[in-house]
Amino acid sequence: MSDDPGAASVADAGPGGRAPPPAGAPSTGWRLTARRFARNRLAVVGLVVFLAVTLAVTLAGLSPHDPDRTNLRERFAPPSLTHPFGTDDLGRDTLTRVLYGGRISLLVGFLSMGFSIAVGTVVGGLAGYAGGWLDSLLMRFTDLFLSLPSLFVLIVLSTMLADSPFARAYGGTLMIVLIIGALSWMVVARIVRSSVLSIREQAFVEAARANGASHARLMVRHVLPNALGPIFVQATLQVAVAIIAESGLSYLGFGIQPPTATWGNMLKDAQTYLTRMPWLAVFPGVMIFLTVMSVNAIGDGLRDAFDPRKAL
Amino acid sequence: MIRYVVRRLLESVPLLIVVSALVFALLQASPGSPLAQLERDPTITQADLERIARERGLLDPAPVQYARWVAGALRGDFGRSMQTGRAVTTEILERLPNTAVLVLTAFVFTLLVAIPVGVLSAVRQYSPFDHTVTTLAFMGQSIPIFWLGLMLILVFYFALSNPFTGGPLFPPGGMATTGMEHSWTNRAWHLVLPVVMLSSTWVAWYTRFLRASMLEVLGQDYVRTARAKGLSERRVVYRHALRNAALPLVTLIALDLPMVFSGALFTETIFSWPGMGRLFFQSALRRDYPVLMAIVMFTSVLIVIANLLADVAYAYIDPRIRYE
Repeated sequence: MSDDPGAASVADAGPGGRAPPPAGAPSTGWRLTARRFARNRLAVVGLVVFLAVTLAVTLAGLSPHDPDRTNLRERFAPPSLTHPFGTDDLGRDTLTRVLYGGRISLLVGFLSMGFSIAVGTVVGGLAGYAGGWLDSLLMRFTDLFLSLPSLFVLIVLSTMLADSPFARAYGGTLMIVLIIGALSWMVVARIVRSSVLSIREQAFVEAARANGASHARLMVRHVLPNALGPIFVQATLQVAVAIIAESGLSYLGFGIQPPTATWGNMLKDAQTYLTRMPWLAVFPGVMIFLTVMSVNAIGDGLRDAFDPRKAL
Repeated sequence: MIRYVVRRLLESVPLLIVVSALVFALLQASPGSPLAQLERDPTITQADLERIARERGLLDPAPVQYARWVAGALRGDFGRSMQTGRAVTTEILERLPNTAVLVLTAFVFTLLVAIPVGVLSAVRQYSPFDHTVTTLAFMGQSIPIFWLGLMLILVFYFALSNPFTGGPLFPPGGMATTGMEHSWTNRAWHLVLPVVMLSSTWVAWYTRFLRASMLEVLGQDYVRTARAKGLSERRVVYRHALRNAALPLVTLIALDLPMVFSGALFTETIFSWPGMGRLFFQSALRRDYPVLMAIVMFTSVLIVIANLLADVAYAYIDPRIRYE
């Protein structure tokens, strides 16, 4: 259904951009893409916001407060100069916790993305390149995962593993990354497959094959590099998917467990004190919202930048 | 066509078998005894526990338990809830109408908003209206709906009050005020916030989709032909363009079903809506495996059926699509 035309056009640029550029055109596909991206205001704002969030989260250690130290004298404090986002029921500084929580949320987002992109690229690449029975088998496997209600299965998996040592490793982060990744690679696989299907028919692949290139070399050197555009777009969108999934799971109590703060489990705690301390619910949510929105903006910008029908 | 439907139906059988085996295996492998609730009860002896486990077939080998489960499932028997001891099917059927009310209302609401807004946005591309819609749709796509739910309660239950009664503007949860279960207005009043929460992402997606789809269609030759022969703009847009632009929505609706289920889980949990999503959430907290298993199976079956229906419906309404 979704034969991505973006893939074909990147392929036209030739492997590694070694083909001489047509007169008047920018030299390589990547520079062209970057220029198109830079012209998209929403995408650039998204990138700036995302970098700002990442920077803030990285510098969380500069906060004068300890994210986990309770201070019973400063419980329930509304936002003020010393506590810009207020404090919670244990007197912990919400801003500091939001920043430390962001580390986990972003980490889970990126690691899950890496996992789902890796699995999706291998499955989709093999299916598209090999074709035949292997293609059918891998796509049935993908359909199987697609017909699972993913949130429900995430909850089942998380409940199931809750008592295992695996769940306690790194505060449960590793487990969450693996189960989110394991349930979100399917879209990637489908998109990579359709890109590979169109790329492998291109003349330069034919030429490389005629030159005696092995399957592995064809795949890694010629086909996949030209499918990078759609993979990049998917990678971006997967970060957003994973951040939402982690915060949703943690919000329900099936994700990363306290005392490790994440935006999701902070919202869970905030729920109890919704009227008394609304700031506890507002700030972590705003952070999820902002981050996911900026990542989606970047993803949209990348998609448009890779799509030749749009610009020029 | 009939052959295609039959073939697709047959294809989905192995899919469902693998799904059920997978979920069953997962639940079997899970730690924590299904009798944990009883084990904590001091009045129940070890001998009682063993007897109950044997009675419920918990000591049989896993394949036997699975076979028994499948045989039962085909007869509509998904075993008993470990929490309440009632038939799982009864538990689910009790909750199902509530989820259906919520999801269907949200669905109708989504279409009522997304179609006119998406169309208007495309017809007036780059107008202030279009920019507002595009921005809102973009935000709606990114908002975590569980947070949106909390914010809705904060604003419409706590912060704002009804100027006539002085009470809250909207209730914070439940399906109806106790004692007023038969009042339609009361039930509708309770539906408002959950429906807004559940349909937010949905509306955003469909508006964006329809706008893009309309823009593509409006540039087609047949639209120009329709204009050229002097049809009113209204007729051109709604008769000629929209009909074609809305076609792919059919597929989208089926593909979105998993998203709707997870949305319903959050919505029902936040608004104490006694539906299937909340049942799942509570069963997960209590590790009530038969219920979890049955709901996962049930939703998987729905997803498979919805995909099948979407393909068939698409082939039916779009004569250009041919299945061998």
